[in-house]
Amino acid sequence: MTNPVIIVKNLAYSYNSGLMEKVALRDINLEIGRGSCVAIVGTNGSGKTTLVQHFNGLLRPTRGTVLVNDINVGAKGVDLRQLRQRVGLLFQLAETQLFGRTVFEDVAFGPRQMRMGKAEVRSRVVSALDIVGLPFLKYGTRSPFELSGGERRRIALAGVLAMSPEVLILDEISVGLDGEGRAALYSYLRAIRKKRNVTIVLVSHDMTEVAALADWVFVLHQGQLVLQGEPRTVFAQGERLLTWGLAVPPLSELLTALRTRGAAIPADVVTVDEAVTWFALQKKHNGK
Amino acid sequence: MSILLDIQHVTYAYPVVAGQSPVLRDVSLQVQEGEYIVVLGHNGSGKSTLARLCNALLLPDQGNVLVGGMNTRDITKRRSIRDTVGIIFQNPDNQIIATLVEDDIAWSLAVQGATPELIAERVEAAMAAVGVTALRQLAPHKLSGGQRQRVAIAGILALRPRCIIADEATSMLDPLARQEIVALLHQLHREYGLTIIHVTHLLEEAALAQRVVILKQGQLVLAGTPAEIFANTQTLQTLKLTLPEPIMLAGRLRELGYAIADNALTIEAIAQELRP
Repeated sequence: MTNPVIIVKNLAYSYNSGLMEKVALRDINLEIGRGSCVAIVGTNGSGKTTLVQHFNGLLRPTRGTVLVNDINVGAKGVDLRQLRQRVGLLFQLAETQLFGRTVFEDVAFGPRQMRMGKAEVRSRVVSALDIVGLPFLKYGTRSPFELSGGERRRIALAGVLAMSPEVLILDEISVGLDGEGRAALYSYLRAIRKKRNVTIVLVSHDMTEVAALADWVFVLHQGQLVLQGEPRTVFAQGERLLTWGLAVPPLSELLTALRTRGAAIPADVVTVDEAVTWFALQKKHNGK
Repeated sequence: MSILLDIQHVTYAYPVVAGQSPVLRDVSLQVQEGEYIVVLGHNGSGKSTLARLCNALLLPDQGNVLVGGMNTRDITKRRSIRDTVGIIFQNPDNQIIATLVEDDIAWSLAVQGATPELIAERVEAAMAAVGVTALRQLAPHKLSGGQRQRVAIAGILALRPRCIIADEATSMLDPLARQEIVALLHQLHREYGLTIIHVTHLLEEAALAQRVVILKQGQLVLAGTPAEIFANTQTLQTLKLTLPEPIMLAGRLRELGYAIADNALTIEAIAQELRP
């Protein structure tokens, strides 16, 4: 891969809980391209969260190395402050982590911690709120706690964006949101990618979401990287995914079911539009 | 069939903010004993409020809710109402109390003063019904989300209700666990004749229901069988409810002249219709 922003080499990690050692990651090797949107999928306990917590130095490798923008996360005396400004991490159910009296205060917390001037803080907050669809003029002075869950989550996202990270890690960002909330969030994420060229790392078990956003997928199972590739190649392997406890998107499931029934649908048909086009062609051929 | 739940012209507003518009406005709905009904709607549509009105966690401002003929306003009937209708919530952690799976399932019976023999019998049966017998001696926090939700369901089953309301009980689970819980609800419906009210924002969970009602901003806007609802693509679009992709594909192929039965709503059924 040319110009990767994250390089993981032979990474292993064990949690040490007193007497027991629990191996969470074994020998992970991967690269994440600058400006890409990658998804890390796997069941609970597969090591997804452990892996991404290395990317902003919340965890240090037990063995192996993790390089983020050439910063060696495991090195002694690594500048964690600098690392965390470059790599923003949004936790699960991020809306529960808001604390500001107003939306402005909440989003401004990060830039203020970075010791920015008043004008700079303000311009960053305004731009971050803009990009998540909650314009400052309308929302800035409101209390985050009077907003809906979906809006609060977007404020948490703005809080991370205000620090202008180069890498954005989103841990299960759409859990609990309804279809409308999801669709809105996805369009803001696309805008963030386009406008800021941020690398996005999605941790998700929602395959429809992965299919909608990611251009590369890593599959983790019991701490190992078992599969990687473009979403369409990964989702074509429905049976393997099932053995790892993962569902494929419902449409892939339907197309797989049709293929096993003898329909010659090519592997590169993955979206509704592509399937409609293929079926329309069949109809035409059969009609003649 | 008899009517188990009779919601009559119910209006409800949360008292927190004065002058706030009601979350439910003149909602009427009758649920038959033994029915499997899906209540669909977005966040804020009033579906959880409706669920809470069904076992007297909330009382209507106007109108009445009758459970097996008992009015939820009648305080002397409250216990029997809650024995009749049990609710499972979104986050199982909010309704798991004890430190062992079997103790948790026994909890409500113990609180009600049931005999040890009865408790043992009911807990055994409830664990078997949801498939957590092997986990009985484990601490709930060691279980997966799907397993914890099963334990929560077992806790309700031990009380032998006639109706279970699953209020977004799948929305925090991963897709496989979600499918398993939906399958479990259908199994309880089939095998024990339980009335199920399944509250969700996911259209795909409605495919196997007997009836679907859709709530929008506190009002019932659409009702029908899953096939009728799924065929109503335009209304679904204005309601911003997303059709599952396989059903979307089936709809577009029908327009192309493919013969696909209206009641083919599962992946299996659609695949069967489209097979070469």
